[in-house]
Amino acid sequence: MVKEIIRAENLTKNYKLGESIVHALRGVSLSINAGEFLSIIGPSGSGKTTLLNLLGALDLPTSGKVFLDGVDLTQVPERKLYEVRRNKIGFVFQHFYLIPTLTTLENVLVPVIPIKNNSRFKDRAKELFSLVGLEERMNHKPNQLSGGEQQRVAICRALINNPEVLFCDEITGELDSATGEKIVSLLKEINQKEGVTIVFVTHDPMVSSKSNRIITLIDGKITSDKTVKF
Amino acid sequence: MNVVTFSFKNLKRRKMRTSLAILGIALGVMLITSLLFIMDGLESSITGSLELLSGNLIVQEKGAVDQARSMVNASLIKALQSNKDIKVISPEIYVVARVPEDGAGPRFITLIGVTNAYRKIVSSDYIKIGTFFNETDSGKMVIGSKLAKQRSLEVGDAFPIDSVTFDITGIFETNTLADAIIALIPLEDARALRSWPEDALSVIEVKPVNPDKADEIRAYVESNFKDYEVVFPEDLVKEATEILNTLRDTVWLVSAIAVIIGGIGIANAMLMSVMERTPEIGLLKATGWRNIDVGYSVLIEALGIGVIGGLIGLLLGMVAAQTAQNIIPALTVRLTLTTIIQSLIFGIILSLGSGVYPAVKAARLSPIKAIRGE
Repeated sequence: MVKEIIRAENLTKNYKLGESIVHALRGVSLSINAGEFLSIIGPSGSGKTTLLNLLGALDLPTSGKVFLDGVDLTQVPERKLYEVRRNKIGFVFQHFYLIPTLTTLENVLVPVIPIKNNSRFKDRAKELFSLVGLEERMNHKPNQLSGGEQQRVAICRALINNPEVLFCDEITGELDSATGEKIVSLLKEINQKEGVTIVFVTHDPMVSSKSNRIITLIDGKITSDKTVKF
Repeated sequence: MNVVTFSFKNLKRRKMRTSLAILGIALGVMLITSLLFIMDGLESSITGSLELLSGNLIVQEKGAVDQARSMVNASLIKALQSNKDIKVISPEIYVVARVPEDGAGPRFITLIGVTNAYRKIVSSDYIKIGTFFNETDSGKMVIGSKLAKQRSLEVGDAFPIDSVTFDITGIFETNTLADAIIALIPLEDARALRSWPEDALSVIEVKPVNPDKADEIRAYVESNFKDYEVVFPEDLVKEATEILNTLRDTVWLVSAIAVIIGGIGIANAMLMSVMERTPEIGLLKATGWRNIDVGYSVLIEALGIGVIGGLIGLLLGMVAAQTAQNIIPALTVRLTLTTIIQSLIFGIILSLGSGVYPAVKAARLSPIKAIRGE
């Protein structure tokens, strides 16, 4: 039986911009099953990143509900949200946000620094490095790595806690197209090997072309939701 | 890696900024420790000088500001001799003398004209090198060890003061301020220097048969001789301590301001660092760092600056105090554990205080706004 990992019910999100109110999302409902590899696409300002942030427990909706693995995120108090972020979710961003003074291995371990007895995560980190093909680069500093390699380190960092869902926000934005394609193929492999659900937000047609499902967002509303069969 | 090692690695990111923040706190702590070391030295040497006389009483002119400005009549000696509670009577004449300006050290010293009785007033190990002069000698001197050192004088050397040249017969050491500013000469030489009549003395120092009798002796003198008063060195210790405490408060106030300026430097460095790393802090939160973890990390950075700055400041303070002592030999510097601990704790509390605002600011950042660099 297929397990539902994310469900959004009638999400709206309004921002105040000066005097006016921006309606970033105008009633979005969707359901994502465990193991999906899907893209959310749409023009700039269509509310893609806003949606990703709501699904990823980084922000709260103006109205509506978000369920992650059965838990209503809108009911989790702010001070408890860290548990969701720590245990259920991984994020990869357009910028890598690697800490320049730390080695790549240390960067991958950054999310678990506040956890007690965190040395047990070292093996997981090494496993991830070999998964992304960077075993030889564990003790390098980020500035010794290419953009693609840095993004791969960021992916390892997002996966260190074995999250159920990996959210990827425009992750090919800073990479050339060949490198971008390699990264997406790598994520596809991870999706299959580790069974982690991967949700992309992207402008890049290459990324969406590799997805199993493409959700199009225009003006804060879902205008199409296609499942692709390969 | 834990939050503490993570924070320390962060400190290395902007080495110049971290160093300047450390320097700021180090200079403040240096000022506070060096001044307090000097204060501690001053305190021990002043109270030490007075405690040295402990058990003795000084009979002086009523209302005299100090011994050099007191004049008593020698006839008082006879009256005191009849008192059975008194063991030693030492008549003394104080002379404030200008010394030649060719050497280092103070320009004025205090010469105390004494008789052989003075030997029974001071402790048995008072003379370090040489011997006491005899009261019938003239032009002889026993000099304080620091004064001798400053002027490179040894036993047998001559020390000219005004028109008289004194031959040094001995060097005394008490480990107090007296060593730097006092020399003993025969009573009659002191009388000559002041051109005083035969029956004039500055003070009469008295040692009781038994310390318990001190109050009775005081009552006896003050009831029978209305023009005189009896001073206990203990009273002077109390008075000096009060003055020193006021001075100490002033030192704290002045140097606290310096350290607080250092603290503002830490707060500024930490705020800059938090602002620069806003997106990174957003990432930490997005990956499950709690607010308290983020705040703690910033606080540890501030504390790191405070502890390193405090330790460097402490070392610099010791060096500065020691240097001050070398330049001004009359200055006694004492490195006390209390002062070391106090200034370190002060530096640490201040650095923690300076880190609070940046830490709270970082902790409260919304992950999503932070990642966008807002």
